[in-house]
Amino acid sequence: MTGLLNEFLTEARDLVEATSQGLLVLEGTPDDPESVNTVFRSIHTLKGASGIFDIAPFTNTVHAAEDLLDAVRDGRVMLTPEIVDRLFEALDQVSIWLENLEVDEALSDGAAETGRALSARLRAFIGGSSEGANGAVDAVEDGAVDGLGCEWLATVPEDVRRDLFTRLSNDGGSLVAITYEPDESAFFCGDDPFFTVRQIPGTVWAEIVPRQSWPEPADFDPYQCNLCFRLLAVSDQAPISDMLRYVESQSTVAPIGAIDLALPNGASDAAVELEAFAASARELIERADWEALSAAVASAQESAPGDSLQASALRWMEAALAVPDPQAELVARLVEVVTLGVAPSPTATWNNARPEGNSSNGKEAGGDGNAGGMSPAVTAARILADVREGLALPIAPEIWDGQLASTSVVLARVFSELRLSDCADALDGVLEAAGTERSYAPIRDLVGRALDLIGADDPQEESEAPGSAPVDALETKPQNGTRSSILKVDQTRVDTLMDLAGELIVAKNGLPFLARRAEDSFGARELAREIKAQYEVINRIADDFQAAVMQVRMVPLDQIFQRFNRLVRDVSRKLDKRVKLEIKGGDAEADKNVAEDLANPLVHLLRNSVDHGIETPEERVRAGKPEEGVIRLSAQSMGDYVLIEVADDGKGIDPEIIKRKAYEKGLLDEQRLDSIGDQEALQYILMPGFSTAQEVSEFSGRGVGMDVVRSMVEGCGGRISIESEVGKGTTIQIHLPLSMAVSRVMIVDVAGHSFGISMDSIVETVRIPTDDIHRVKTREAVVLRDRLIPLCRLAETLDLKPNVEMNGRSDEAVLIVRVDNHELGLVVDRFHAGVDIILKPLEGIMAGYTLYSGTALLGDGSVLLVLNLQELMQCLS
Amino acid sequence: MPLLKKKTVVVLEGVCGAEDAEPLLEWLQDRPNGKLNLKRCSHLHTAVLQVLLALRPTISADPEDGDLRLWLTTALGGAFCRE
Repeated sequence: MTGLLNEFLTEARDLVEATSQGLLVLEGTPDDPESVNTVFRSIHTLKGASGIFDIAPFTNTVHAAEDLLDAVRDGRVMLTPEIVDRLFEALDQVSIWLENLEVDEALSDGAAETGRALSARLRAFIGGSSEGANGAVDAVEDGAVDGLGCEWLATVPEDVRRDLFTRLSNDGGSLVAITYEPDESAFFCGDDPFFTVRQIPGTVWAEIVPRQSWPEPADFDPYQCNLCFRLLAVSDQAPISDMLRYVESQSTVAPIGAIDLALPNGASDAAVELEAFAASARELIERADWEALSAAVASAQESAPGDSLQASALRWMEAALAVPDPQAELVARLVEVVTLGVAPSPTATWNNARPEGNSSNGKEAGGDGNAGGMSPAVTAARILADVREGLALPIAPEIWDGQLASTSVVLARVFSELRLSDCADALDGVLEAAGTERSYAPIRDLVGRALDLIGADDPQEESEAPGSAPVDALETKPQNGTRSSILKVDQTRVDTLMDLAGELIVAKNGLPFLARRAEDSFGARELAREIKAQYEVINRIADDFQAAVMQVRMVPLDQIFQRFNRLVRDVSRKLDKRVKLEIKGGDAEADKNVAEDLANPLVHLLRNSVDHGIETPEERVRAGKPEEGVIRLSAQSMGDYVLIEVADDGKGIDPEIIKRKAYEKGLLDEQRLDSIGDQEALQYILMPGFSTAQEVSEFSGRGVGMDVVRSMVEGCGGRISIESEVGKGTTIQIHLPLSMAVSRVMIVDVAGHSFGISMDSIVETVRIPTDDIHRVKTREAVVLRDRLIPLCRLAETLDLKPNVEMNGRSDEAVLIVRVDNHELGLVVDRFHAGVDIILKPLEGIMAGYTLYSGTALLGDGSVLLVLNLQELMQCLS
Repeated sequence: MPLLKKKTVVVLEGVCGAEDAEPLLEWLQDRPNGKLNLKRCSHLHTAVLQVLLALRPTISADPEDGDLRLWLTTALGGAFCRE
């Protein structure tokens, strides 16, 4: 795949996302001009970007969306939920096409059809039906300068039209009227319009006329295109539109029905007296007596001079009656022409949709991608681009301050004009920083951000971004609400940094040992001290480095949360419920991978809330609640973990029902059934095997129970719990550890193998006399300070051959651990020291060994397996 | 060489591209009575076509190529009529 396509895909996805977000905001505040502009801009940029590639259906669909949004912006169309639905429909299709492009580098086969249908549906909102005169649903493509494209139909010789009319009415087929007015500079774009036109299939009539009269030979420039091509072709619209797709803005391809050809012309002859004919004609039309009417027409023709309007109308009547199944309406209209002596205007019989004064009409010339129709903004964008360029140039020191001052004035005004409040706020600080550092760099970064926000196509921007300091990527966090990141980096590169950071941490840990060896084995006390000092320095740097790399991978949870607006909207609309999603604390950050993994369980939780939690509007009113339910999705940074809550004010969960279900499924015995508390009972929802068929609906169920959500959350290393009150609502809490931090484990020897056990779980290490070990059936246990602690011989449990010399010992080394409030004693051969490690989860085929929570690389290069105590506990019970 | 310039006639052969428009125009400007032989011409770039339409030189030989003849007739103001 070419780099260009790659970049387009990334940019396009961002733009689609920005448009989606913008649409949701716009739906909430339909009158806010800034919201409309935001959405319009991203769609406009998307259209421009897609124009580089041969993906006409894509561009045309986006163009239709842009035109619709333009109409909304101008107030010609009111935004309704249906319009928003359609726009989302188009965006979804665009996303699918982007996937096609990524995999196949081309759109799917049917894309032209789909695109046309989508465009038609979008344009249908812009006034005028999109039905063609013969029922074709295809909308007219963007008009050439005159906007209609087919007023010249009446100038086509009458006999040509009549023949076509007869032919179409008898044999069927589709007719298109093509108007092609190439730009003056068309030749310089490599077009040969004459050649293009000659390729059009099925041409039955054509005309080539100059747009302006030809100048004198001496003044004539053959390279300025002065021609207008008009054609009638018997063909489907699609192949011709396809042929003209590169000159879409200079041409019209309009399907025509036979009926549109029936335009009588000529001058009305006042002397013609046909009242009697008209009267009887009307009567015959009522009775649909076509034979008699034909006869009447024939005799009437004798009274009208051949070149008169009336004669023309009569000839058309003749033609209209000669076809199978004459159209009464057409015939009636022609009778009116005969009687009144007035020619119908070409537009009266023309039924195709006319894009009303599209702001994009005629402004496409050159495709320079500027936000057409927004002149102040265009100017402002240009100014910003120029400022940025200007600041990059070398400058004499004497005028450095002066330029700073003038730049600040310009920027303040531009930001205010563009209503970039964030940038305006940041301006003072940035100017101060620039003054202190004696560098324009902060200002250029701010301008870059501003350009990003207004979606200007600034080629400089692209080449700037990678260069403009990796330092910025660490210091500058993404702005609230701005989805553009400063640096787009392949995640594998960051992962490599993480690995190296980890190795560095482990490697540095070897230094203290070296120091001790220097002292003990070589008596070099001085050297030992110096090694230790250097170790301190390296230690600090390594820790800082690791922290910095982890920062790079931190993303604000907003990135995940914002997607859910659309989800909640769609689900609640489908279920006819009114639900509002409130998002708080989206700026809390988590490791990117962890955040992404969180998305899935959150989708299920939100769907559950809308489906089962929030009641229908009627139920809510009956319960004395507001019609609109609220789901609050919040994140709170709590040091080294994040607390995420999904809280709804719905009908809550009845603990009694849960207790009964748990009892039925054998998860609770009778004793517990009575004694268990309400809140504790709720946690049973998270148990495997809990969800029942009753909960299956279109959205939740289908095997996605809360226990799956729980395992997803725990897979991220998190914990999930539920609180609920019947009638008031339900709150689900997720504790999420921030990142793969350095963890401390204790190394133990078991049957000649080493394992790591997380220090967090270790309560104490003891040596227990063998005699103190009680045996109950097959289980062993020990009493320690009045607690009965079950024992687990790791060697046996892990199916390892026990070390023979361990037999007949008088005491055992036991590691007491606590997991989920249960204690366990692990019998091992020997304890070792605790070490800092970076825990790496098992991957690939090893991922199935759930008994291990991961591996770690030790200072001597060996690999340590770390036990997953929760799994161990489960296996033992 | 699509443009073969003789004394009173210029022969246009094969496909005449955009680059032929300027030389043709100059030739016609120098010889107001110059004639065009289009017998073996198969296509004229639009720019060349424009020269014909603006200057209306005499055409001594029509194109043998039926399709081009049809379009040329149409461009020069005749009716578009496939025989």
